[in-house]
Amino acid sequence: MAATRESGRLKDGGQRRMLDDAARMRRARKALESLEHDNFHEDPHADLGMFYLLIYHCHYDLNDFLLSMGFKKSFAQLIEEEKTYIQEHNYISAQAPPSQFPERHFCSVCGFPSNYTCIPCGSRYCSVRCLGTHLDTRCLKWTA
Amino acid sequence: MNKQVLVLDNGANAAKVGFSNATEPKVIPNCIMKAKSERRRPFIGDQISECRDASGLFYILPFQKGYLLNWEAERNIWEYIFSKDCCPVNFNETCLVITEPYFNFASIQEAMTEILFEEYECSSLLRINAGDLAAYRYMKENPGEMCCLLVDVGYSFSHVVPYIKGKKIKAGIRRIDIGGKALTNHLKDIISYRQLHVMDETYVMNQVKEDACFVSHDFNGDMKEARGLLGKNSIVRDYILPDYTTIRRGYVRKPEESGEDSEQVSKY
Ligand SMILES: [Zn+2]
Ligand SMILES: [Zn+2]
Repeated sequence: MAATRESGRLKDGGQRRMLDDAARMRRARKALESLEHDNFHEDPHADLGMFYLLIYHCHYDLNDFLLSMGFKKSFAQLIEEEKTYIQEHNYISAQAPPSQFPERHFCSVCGFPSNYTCIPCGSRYCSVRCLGTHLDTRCLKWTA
Repeated sequence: MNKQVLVLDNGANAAKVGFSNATEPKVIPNCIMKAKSERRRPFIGDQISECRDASGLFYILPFQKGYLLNWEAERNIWEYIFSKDCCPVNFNETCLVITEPYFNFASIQEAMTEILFEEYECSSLLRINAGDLAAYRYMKENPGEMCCLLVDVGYSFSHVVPYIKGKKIKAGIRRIDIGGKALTNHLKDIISYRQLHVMDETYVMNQVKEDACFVSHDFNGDMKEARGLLGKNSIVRDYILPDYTTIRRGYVRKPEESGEDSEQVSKY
């Protein structure tokens, strides 16, 4: 839930800060990416190590094995690797393009359909009341 | 000769496991969980039912973005799944059918094959997309059909896959990177913003989602309905959260049955 500010020019303290389209897109993408997180808090027993007292132990060191076989890869590495294969249809080509239908907009406060856009940040709102809440809480201090 | 067949649908959220002649598979959370209240042990899969207080669970998931990346975690979960406590298997006498995501990466496939043959000494192995099996069954049950379009909503992504005469058309497969995990996290966001802080309560919020959320067949109509005042609103519900003393699992309640008490979460 850390408040993150994207663009450098936000910091210069002008009263009417505004996000440009690119910054709005970045924020939207970041919000979407954060939905992939598994945890939002720290491991409560991190001090005990990753696999403390697991009942089952591999009879050799799995980590070493995977490393030696070249199997221990991050997602980014796998994607890079995929690009080098000459396969017509793969993870990258299967990515769906943006929808052909117009976007639907929902109030960032109450979730109901919205008609208005907050000028500084581009969030949506449906009523003066929701705009007030938005300005007091989330506007330009994007959380999660 | 008569070998038994074990099917492991190794999903990013839940593993579904069972012998081919069983009526129902066992559904095991495909993760390791650490509880704040329990320092002595982590909980693997459905062992979480032994945990007295499932608030603030910390998750270790073998899958990232829909692909099996954390083998250490997965190996520990498999050890549990194949053990006498869950689904005992004698691999020497068993053929294993295991599912993998669409466009699984070559090195993940190799690692899986390697581990299943070398570690478990699996006698034979079939790696297949879960959707292929669903399409196969559909074609068997509907002999006249020429094709089907399969929608596989996963944990980190969803695929739409065309099958023609039982054959998967790879060129037509499309993926969006939204699945059950994003929905649960989105629900956590919404509730944390509007009502109470539940960002650490994935386990409970996932139950809320499964208990209370539904797919609308008339989106605009339902949105209108959900706006209605209490009493004129057929969608709004209260949700009673577990407190792990008297209530071990949360549940949905119709608002009129409420006697204004405790924490409640209403949603549409
Ligand atoms: Zn609103
Ligand atoms: Zn704003």
